[in-house]
Amino acid sequence: MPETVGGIPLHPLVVHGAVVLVPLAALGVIVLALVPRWRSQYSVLVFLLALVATANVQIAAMTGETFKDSFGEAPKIERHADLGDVMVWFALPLLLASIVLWWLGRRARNERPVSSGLGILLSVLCIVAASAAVVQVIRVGHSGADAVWSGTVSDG
Amino acid sequence: MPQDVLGLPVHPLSVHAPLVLVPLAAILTIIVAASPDRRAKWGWLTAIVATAALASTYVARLSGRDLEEALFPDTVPPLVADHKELGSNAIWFVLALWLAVCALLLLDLDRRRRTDISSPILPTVLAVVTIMVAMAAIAQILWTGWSGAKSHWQPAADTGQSEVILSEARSR
Repeated sequence: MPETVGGIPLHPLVVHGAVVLVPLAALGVIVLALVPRWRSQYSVLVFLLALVATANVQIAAMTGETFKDSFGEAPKIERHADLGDVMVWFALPLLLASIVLWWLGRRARNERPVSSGLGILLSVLCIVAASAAVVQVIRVGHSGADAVWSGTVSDG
Repeated sequence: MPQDVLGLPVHPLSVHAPLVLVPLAAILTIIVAASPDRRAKWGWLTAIVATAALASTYVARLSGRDLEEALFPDTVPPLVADHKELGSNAIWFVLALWLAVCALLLLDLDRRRRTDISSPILPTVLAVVTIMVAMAAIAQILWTGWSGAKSHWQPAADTGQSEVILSEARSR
């Protein structure tokens, strides 16, 4: 992974993608979990969002690792790195959830819907996965911003 | 505008949204402008994303002004001034994108309602203009983001502000 782009560190650029795309993909998953009617038309789109979001999380973790080394000892950066390292384990369930919804949509369209109990169970699990990913991306993002920006507008 | 979110400035949080949503809206716009089939399918989605992009650009602009006042009450460093000027103009590019998308979709609605086949010149011209506006919006947003990143992260920035902030972070 290159460390900088045009003299500016790469990590703060890459994280834009993760910070926006993970919540956007999670919103898509939650909406599709709640509204089965929309699955046939939008599943592919939500899957693509989740895929790009997951890739972005991984790239953010990789660029963050090298970026961290340029700072030396810093408790706030360590905490951010610890939270960031596990982020991919929240992004992957989100990706899986988008695939499950796609599959449920396909089954329904081919007149072979899964039983309503299983459908509800999977939808609930998808919503849980999506919510967890959003919570974690907020924790990671806030800890990173805290390392960079704390003290600039108030005595955070 | 609130001055902070959980003790941190709003601007570096709020800029995430336009930086992703404006290019996303622009790419969707280029797709629906180039392909009438996609327009019928994704037209509304594009309008929603473009609206979110416009709103987020406006929030970034407001919060940017707040951050500038908080960080540099007296003299504004040149890199920050550059960023401010680009950011102030960015809203007009995104507004143009939003208007182009709306015009494209409204023209489409109108055409579908009519039965007589009218000349393809107007939709073609509008589609071409829309694609140009979309590309300009992407360029402007990237340029703005780049200048903002430079004003914060470039260690050789005239004030050394980024160094100050990072050394504070290290000492905590």
